[in-house]
Amino acid sequence: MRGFVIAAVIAGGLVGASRADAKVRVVTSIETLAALTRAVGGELVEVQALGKGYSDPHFVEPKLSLVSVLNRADLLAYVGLDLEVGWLPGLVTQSRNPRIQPGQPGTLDCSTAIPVQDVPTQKVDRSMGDIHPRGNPHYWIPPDNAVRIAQEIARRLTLIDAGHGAAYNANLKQLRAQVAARLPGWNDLAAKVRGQKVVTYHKSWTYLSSWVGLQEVGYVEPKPGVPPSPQHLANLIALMKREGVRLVLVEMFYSRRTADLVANKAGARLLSMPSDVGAFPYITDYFKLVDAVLQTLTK
Amino acid sequence: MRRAAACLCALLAAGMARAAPPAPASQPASAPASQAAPAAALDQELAAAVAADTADSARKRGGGTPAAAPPGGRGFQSLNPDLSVIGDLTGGYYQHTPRSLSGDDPARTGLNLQELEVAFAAVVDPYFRADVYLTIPNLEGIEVEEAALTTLSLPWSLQLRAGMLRATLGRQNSQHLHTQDFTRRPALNSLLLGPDGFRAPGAEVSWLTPLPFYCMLYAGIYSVFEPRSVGFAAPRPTFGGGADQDLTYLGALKAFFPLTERLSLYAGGSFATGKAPVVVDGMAGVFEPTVRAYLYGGDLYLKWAPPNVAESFFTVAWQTEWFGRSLEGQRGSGALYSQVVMRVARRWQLGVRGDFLGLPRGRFFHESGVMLRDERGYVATLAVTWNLTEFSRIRLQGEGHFNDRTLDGSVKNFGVALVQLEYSMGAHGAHQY
Repeated sequence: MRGFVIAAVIAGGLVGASRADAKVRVVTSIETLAALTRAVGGELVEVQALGKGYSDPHFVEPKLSLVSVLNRADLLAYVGLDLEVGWLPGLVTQSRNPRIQPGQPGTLDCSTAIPVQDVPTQKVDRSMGDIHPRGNPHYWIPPDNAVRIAQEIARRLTLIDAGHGAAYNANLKQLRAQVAARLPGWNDLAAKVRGQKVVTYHKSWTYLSSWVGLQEVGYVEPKPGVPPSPQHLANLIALMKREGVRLVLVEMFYSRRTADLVANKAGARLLSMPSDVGAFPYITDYFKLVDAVLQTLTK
Repeated sequence: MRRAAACLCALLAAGMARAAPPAPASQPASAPASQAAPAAALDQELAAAVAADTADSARKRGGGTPAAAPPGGRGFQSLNPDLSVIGDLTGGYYQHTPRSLSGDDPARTGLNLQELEVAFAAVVDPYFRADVYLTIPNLEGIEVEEAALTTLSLPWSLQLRAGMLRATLGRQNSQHLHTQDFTRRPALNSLLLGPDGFRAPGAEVSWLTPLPFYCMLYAGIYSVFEPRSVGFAAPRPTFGGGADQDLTYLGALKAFFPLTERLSLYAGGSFATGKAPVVVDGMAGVFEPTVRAYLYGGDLYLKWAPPNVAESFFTVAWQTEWFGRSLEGQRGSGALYSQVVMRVARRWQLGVRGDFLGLPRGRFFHESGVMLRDERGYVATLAVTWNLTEFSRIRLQGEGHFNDRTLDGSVKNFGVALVQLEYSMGAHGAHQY
């Protein structure tokens, strides 16, 4: 036993010592937040996303290897609004990392940086499906929101690593300039679909629709997280025909079968949409994500 | 063993002493990576100044420290704990009632409110979170299933859980009923771990080792309050004997290996020792004094799940646990279960489990008037679960018991059929692996 205690103390010391020259370790729940952190942090940060861009961020497998990743984090940035409520809180508690526990500067709920949409105005309960009581968490694609998130990440990095605050601010300025430079092109693409009526699988495109000007008239899921019944699909198809809906949007990580059927029966086109960096191998940063989303919408 | 516990406590105390209080929101939580050369003297000077200021303001205020501000955010804010209620209504037919019923198994043929669980969870302050689970199994009175205080800010990757705990002993013991894949717990739960598994007031410290893979070490001390003496018909508890100061000690190691992106292995080994209860049986003229008991076992959890579960929802997991028990001066006994659970569609799950009792052959019960018997029995279980949503489900379960003990003491082959309706209200806690 004495040996074990000595080994534990030595190992603890080694871990502490090995942090001396390390970069700021940032862990994010989704890959887009990781990409924005890389843009702001540059060479000064080491970033890892827990979820994959090609998987549903509601249902990340809470593997214990993620506990080890969180254990070493200086900053945890997550989407919030209960998107990760089914898997992240338990991992954070198990991480044994005081820096990223609730209320600490090392934990960043990125939703605090953006204007939240779809905040329920009535009393909510589970009869409404698996809803997010504090608002819609699928907010990271529109450029306004991405810049706000990046700004919050830069602030938090400066708080944690004050010595490099100037570098983070310079990177943030550069990111803002890049977004501003790309915005006219993106807006031109968006104009091609502005005003179009669409049906989406899950209610996860609200922020994109607001930015681009799409009109969401229905959803394949009757309620968030509830699989559709044949009756709901029949009603939806009738609605789509009545309203002249030509596009059905589904995140690329959902099975396309049901959405395909709905699109076929209603004479609409099914678009399998990327919603996160890493959704496809060529989407390696935020700019490529927005490019891919708009190109999929307009092709 | 006591010296070991003392060493552990000393290590923990040293850790707590070193634990810096969490930084306020306007200051960095940890030393900046780029400024990792703060002078030790400056550190000491700052620490002394902060301590002096704190003492001074405490004196001025008349003691106490201000509560930490809640994290920022909009919308409705409440400092109430998250509250959830989980109910299990179970209809059952026991051709014979197995003697290995666990405390949260449906108690009898007919309709049972198998369990009602009320859970409260909240971060208490910057140092602790608390999780309290009150349960009423089979309408037989309220129990504290768990009331755990968990540290959030210990250094060196240490964490302390204290209170009424489900011990980290194997895999299923620390899971609550609603996280089980079957309506009833495996037989080894009541035969070897305790009438309701190994749960007791205690403290458990765990250390996430700095190895390149997940490897956690656990050490715990418990006051197990099972009956001080055991009579007829009950499975013989392993722990709970001796005097009040006779504690039960536990050690465990768990490791996780992501073999591929889809395949993961979680393996563990556990060991516990304490005093076994006295066995008294006047009819049989049997008296067994308190002896030291040893419980040891291993568990495996192999899971295949694609990173994008939402595409097909297909996952498959194989879980196996074996536990053995030795009582001083007696032959050991052991039991194993092995189960495969497949999620075959978004809403459907299939499970098959085999219980093997008597590996090695040994005594699980004390039976009045009959020679004590070494057991060897089997249970085969099939369960089909329909998850309407994440918050309600219906489960059908059939069991075949072979050469198994019934409540009347006989050894028989018999069947059990159960249908369980489970619902969950309120906050949806994060899933554990």
